[in-house]
Amino acid sequence: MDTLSEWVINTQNLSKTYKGVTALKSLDLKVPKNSIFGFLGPNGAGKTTTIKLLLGLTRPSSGNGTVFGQDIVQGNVDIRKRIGYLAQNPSYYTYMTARETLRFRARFFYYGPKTSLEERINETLKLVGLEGKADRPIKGFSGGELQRLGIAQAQVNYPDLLILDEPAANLDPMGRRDVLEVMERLRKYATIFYSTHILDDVQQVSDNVAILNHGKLVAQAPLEELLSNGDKIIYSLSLEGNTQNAAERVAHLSWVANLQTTHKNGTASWQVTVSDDRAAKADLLRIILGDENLAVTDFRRKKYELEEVFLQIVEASGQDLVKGAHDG
Amino acid sequence: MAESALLYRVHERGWRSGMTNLLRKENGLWWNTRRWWVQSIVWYFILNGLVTLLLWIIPALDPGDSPAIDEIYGVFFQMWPITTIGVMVLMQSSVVSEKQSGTAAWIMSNPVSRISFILSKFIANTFAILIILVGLQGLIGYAQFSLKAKALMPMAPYLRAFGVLSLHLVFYIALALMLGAIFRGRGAVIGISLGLLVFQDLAS
Repeated sequence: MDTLSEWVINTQNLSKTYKGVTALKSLDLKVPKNSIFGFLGPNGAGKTTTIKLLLGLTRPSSGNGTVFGQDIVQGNVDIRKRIGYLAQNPSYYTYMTARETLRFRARFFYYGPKTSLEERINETLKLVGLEGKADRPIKGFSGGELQRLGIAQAQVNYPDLLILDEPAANLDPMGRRDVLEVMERLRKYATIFYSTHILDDVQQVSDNVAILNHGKLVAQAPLEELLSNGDKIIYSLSLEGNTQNAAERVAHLSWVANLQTTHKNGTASWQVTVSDDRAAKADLLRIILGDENLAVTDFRRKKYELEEVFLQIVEASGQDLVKGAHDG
Repeated sequence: MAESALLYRVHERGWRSGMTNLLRKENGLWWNTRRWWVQSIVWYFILNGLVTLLLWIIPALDPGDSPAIDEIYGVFFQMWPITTIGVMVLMQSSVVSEKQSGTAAWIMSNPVSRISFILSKFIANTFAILIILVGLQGLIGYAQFSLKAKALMPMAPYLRAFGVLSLHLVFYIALALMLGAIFRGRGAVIGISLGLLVFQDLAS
């Protein structure tokens, strides 16, 4: 077993076809150890299929993959010994209480004195804030409570890898915050691989991101790298007054690659794409303010939001797919 | 969140992965709930109720109208094919309901082999059904006839009959589990099992 590998998950050309429909196409995914890896994509992109393949719950049509260096087809039972998994729509035995559910799952992994096992269960219940409801049948649990139980059962074996399929879906803002907090707390103990389409959450907790669209991996990078949007540097300004002369001057600067202007309610908004950040920092605002006919009400280096990058990538990949289909 | 020194890793491998825990859960569904005694009472009335009526109640009410023990013995054994239908009803949803509710998928996301998942159901249900339906009811019937005859009934033919019946039931338990693993609906499980039983009856 390749325990020294830096990749917890590593797939090559992993593909899955269901009755002639391709759910996943040649996926090359690499998930580094101890990362919180956000696996993004629109509905039907193939996220859950990928997770099922990694867990050995379904077999790949072609390609291969490893988790902890073990083959996902041959070694899937051994892989699952080191994994905690929360499904998108999890189902548990409704006649069991939360405590019984955790006890049942823990016994797949551990045996030993009852007190030690109960200690582990109590600790896990506390982690997700379900101590007060531990002995209630889960039949009456709310969606948020079930999701907390889902995280608890995934965590009760102290997994090296947590796979969470849409962990914050169907939760209210408080529930989402709690789930993210739990993930943050678990970060130092395990690698967390989770699928979602709530991009705010990803931006808050993830350090690595992959984007899947129509079963194809369209981006994979550390979050910072993805948010830098290909090292494109853009300064964003709001101006009032006559901006025409200033715009001409800025557009002709050697380190300005592009200038986009829009006007609304007497305010001009500029997006200045620059090739030399140092020059822009030093001179851009000074040059603009040299014009006495205008006032600058806002000046900042544009920071990309994940949502913006995600939409750009997904839309571009969608156009490529359409083009590919027409060419084909 | 350090590993507790007092807990040990389960070391089940290959097809046995998850077996002990699943077997504990399946046995618990019979023996840690009221299911075992509810089934015992239900099957007492179905299999031994008529025998009690014919051997004890009717003779007590009308001493001149008591059927011969041999006739009641025959009636008793004619009741037993109904256990096969009972097995079909008890087993029809064992796998299918888990597939429909999604708990099967949850179980399989643990270190569990598919063989363990089915075999644990087979072992636990076979054990419980043979004890409650065959062993207990057979013993009650044997006790009733022996008490009435004021002597122990011949044991060998009795055991042979129940041995054959047990094999028959085990076959239908296995069939229901196999069909449950293949099909997604209860209708197919009970329909095919029942069809086979009718065919078997017509062919014999």
